[in-house]
Amino acid sequence: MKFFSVALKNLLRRRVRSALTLLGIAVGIAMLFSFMSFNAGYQASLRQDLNRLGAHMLAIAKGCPYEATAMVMHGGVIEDYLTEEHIATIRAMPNVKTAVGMFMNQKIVHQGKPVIIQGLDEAGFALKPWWVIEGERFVDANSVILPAGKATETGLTLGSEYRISGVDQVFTVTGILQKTGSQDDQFIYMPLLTAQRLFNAEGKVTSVAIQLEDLRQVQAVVDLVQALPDVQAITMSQMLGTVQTLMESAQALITSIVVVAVLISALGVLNSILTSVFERTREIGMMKAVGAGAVDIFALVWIESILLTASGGVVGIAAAIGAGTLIEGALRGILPFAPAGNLITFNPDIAGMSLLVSVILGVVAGAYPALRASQLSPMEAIRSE
Amino acid sequence: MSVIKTGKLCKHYRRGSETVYALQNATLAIEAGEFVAIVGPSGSGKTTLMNLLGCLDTPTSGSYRLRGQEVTGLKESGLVRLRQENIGFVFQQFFLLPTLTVEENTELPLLFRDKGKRLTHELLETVGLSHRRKHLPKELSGGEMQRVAIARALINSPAILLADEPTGNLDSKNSLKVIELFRELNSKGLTTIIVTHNREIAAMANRTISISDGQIEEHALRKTP
Ligand SMILES: Nc1ncnc2c1ncn2[C@@H]1O[C@H](COP(=O)(O)OP(=O)(O)OP(=O)(O)O)[C@@H](O)[C@H]1O
Ligand SMILES: [Mg+2]
Repeated sequence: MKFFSVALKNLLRRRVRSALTLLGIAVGIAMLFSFMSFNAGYQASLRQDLNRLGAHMLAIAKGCPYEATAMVMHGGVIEDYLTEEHIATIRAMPNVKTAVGMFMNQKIVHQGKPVIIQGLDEAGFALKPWWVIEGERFVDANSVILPAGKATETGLTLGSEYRISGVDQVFTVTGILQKTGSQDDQFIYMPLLTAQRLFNAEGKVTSVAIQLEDLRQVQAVVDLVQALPDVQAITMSQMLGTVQTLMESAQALITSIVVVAVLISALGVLNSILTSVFERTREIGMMKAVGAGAVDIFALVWIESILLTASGGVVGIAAAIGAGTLIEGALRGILPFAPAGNLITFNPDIAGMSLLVSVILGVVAGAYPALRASQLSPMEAIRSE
Repeated sequence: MSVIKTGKLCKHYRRGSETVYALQNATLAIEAGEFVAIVGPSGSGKTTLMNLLGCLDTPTSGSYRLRGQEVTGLKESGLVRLRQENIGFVFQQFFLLPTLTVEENTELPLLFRDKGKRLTHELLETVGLSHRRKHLPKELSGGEMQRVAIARALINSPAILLADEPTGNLDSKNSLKVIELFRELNSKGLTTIIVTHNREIAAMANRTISISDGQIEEHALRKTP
């Protein structure tokens, strides 16, 4: 027989109370684990999203940088255009490998949902060498490429007609883009010229994607681009920074909620263990009479507390992993910006850290009840009613 | 040599502004192998004396030698060691842990001091409960519970068995069984001290010590076994 099994049996003696306390800890630790996983996954996904842009920097018409970032990352509407001349000028700048005009705008499709249309030419495809397209790219001016997800959603297949509300032109699905796991899965694609015509913007682009020869020279190119009238340059790190600024306040809020939840669950443990110490006063007195020292009693109560919080931690982490998609959905709802990839995945480091936190909770919350128990005088304890 | 020797042992409690003289100038000596009954009216100080003898409490004044070692002045850790090495305690209310089996309850003191030698089997045999080894306390009668508590008190092979009204919660049949057990243990050399209200039980002891109002009245009533 060990301290451990005596402590465990004692917890099982008050099943309902122990279960409720454990549930409190589980909820707190599940929140902590989810949020830490989310933050870790978030950073990785964000970088991946930006890499998937296929460009090192973008040139766009001057405007709000937040909007610009949102547009670049998720697609959006920017009414101010750059022109073919801008593209040519930028392409001619030193250290610029390629400069590709991108066109994006929003239309209502026949099912009534808004979609973001992206116009692409051959140079645009060149930015996305990892794309896998089933069927053909574009065969004529009426071709569209649908991402696989959207094709399944709308029931369209290769060769299906594709209609856009208020537009007479009838498009044909010529290609299906296999899942990329990035924001590219959100758009529909058509030839650059067709897209420009659709929005009466011939010769105009919403952004110019720029690839550099040497990444260390970013600032020089930024300066040159900014020198053009009414043009601003956004680098990848700026986009990262913008998104992170947007995220910070939301993160601070969620952090404080998580901390409060964890603290409340720790108070639950303190209360539960303290109550059980008071209830067992006479038993503790007996144990001292039959040879238990203060240290023994302290250890017994402490182990009980740590056992309770550690199992709560395990349950919480398991639940968070099990309900990962659900929690991720909730977090996406709260946060101002979430990348396309999976955010919550099992990461042994984060699980280990959450478990450590749950053990520390037991150590801290159990210390006071354990001290109270260990200091009981045996004969006072036995006398007490 | 006396296993227990006290000199003018006093214990005073403060209750609000008044002082309770629970035990006054108790001087006594108990020899190895004796079977002593402590008797006296309720509130006379019997439990107070037992707690002092069992190193559960420290006296206000006086001296106490347990197997030659001075107890007064020892710190808590010293008292714990003395209890572990010398004393077996039996209480009126058994105090078995409800979640542990008969066997586990018996071995509870080993949790705090394990010498590696397990007498569990022999002890349960002695108290006649080998067949109930795996049972929980709630499945036992009061008499059986008290016998488990006695086995628990003996697991560390103490020199002295202290029992404070061990039959207080038992009917006469079970009381008799428990007392028979004490006599058997005593006949094997275990120094046994019990507090009792029962005259018949007191009569079975070698010697009776009477207390009233915190004072020992007579302690020479010796008879040969
Ligand atoms: N912790 C304490 N605080 C205050 N008074 C106490 C305390 N312990 C005992 N007393 C008092 O000391 C006196 C002796 O008590 P004690 O428990 O030793 O009596 P007892 O002989 O064992 O009685 P009983 O037969 O009822 O068990 C009583 O008056 C009791 O109220
Ligand atoms: Mg008493």
